[in-house]
Amino acid sequence: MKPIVEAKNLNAYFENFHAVKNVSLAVPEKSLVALIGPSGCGKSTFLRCLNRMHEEIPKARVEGEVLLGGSSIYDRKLDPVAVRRSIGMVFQKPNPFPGMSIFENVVVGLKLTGSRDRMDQVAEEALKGAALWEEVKDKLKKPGTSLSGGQQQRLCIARALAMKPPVLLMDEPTSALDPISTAKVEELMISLKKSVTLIVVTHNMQQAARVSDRTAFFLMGELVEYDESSTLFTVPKDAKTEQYITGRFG
Amino acid sequence: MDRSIDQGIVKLREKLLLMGGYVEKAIEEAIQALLENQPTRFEKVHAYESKINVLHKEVDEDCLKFLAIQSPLAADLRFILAVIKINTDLERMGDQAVNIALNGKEYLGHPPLKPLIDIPRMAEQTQFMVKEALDSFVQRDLALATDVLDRDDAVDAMKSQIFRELLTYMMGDPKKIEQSLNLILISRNLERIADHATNIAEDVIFVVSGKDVRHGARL
Repeated sequence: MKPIVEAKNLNAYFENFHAVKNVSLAVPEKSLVALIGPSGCGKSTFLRCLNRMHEEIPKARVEGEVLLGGSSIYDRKLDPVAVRRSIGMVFQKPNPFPGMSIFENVVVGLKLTGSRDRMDQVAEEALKGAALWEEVKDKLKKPGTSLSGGQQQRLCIARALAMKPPVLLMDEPTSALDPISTAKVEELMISLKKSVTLIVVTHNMQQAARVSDRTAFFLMGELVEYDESSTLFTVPKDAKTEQYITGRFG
Repeated sequence: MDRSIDQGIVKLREKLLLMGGYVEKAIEEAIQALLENQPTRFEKVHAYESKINVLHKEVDEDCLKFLAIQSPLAADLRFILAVIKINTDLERMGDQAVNIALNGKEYLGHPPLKPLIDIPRMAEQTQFMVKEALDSFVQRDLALATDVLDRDDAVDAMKSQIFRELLTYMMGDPKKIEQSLNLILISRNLERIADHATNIAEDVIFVVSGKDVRHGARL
């Protein structure tokens, strides 16, 4: 399968701290890649390099290349904000904008970019895509923050989907959710794969095993192993991967 | 680091070994009863088989809980899968020991057909394979497990040889058919036990190396 996102010799730094060390990784289009590893292993930093979020941190910098559909996202001529429109992101804690209704939360990105056409339709599609439409269609004017945690997270996914990004990054999207909401978001991830490429940081190994096509294991800033999830979780090649996923450290 | 999962692994391994010990004893009693012409010893085989059956259910139940609670991965996952399969193999080996006892009892109920030469040799080989398979499981020893696989062909060959020999007895004298059949069945039971030992060895290789060597694939 042809890669849609490709990191080549990617290095990320926080001032002097070398957080991501020479990572090369190709993500096939319309697949789900899970990034796993102990806290501080660089997986979230790596994720944030993929849509130029890392450079927002003072004294942080990135070296190497990230290609989206073959073109560098670090091209000087590109506006980082435009990059983030193509590579959306969902965070650990649901963060609907306070003071905005459910509807406004979904279309806020469209409003900011000036594309105000067909907003009702786009909102409905995005909410359906996030498997939330049936639960909120009769209360679109209620505040986004009135929803349950799981619903809020799906609202945030809908907000990201409204921009129709080819790639969606998720940083521990279910770690603040209860098991039922987690299951719903996981189902959603699997169905989203048909139209979007997903790259997901997770601390939940079973979640990675359940939902991802491929898994990358990070340790101390390095990519230790990257393989089909069905192989990595049953017969990992690297002893460090084996030790981590069987809970011997981390 | 001690993991909570390790306690479960140790317990399952111990229980499976206890079961393996009973299987070895059941086979030993069945064979010795036949070779030493001591029919009362066949009763012990049934006693061991009952114990094996109890453990068979217990191990299955323990595995179910282990899977539900621990969600094992990688080597732990391969281990639990192997335990589930080895559990079935051991239970079947217990059944085969009972079959030897039943066929042996029939055989001893009539005048002997001939001095038993190949059956004891085959039994010895088979018992060695069972012991070696169980040792390879405990010690996670690839060399031992591979040796079990290498021995299986010899046991199969012995079974065929015993069959050919007894066929000549049966063709020569129809009155010898019943006794010949009893011995053929016993050799068949032993051959099945060796096959189960082979399965166990294959599972051990999978646990240790992650490689599937069944159906002719090699390490």
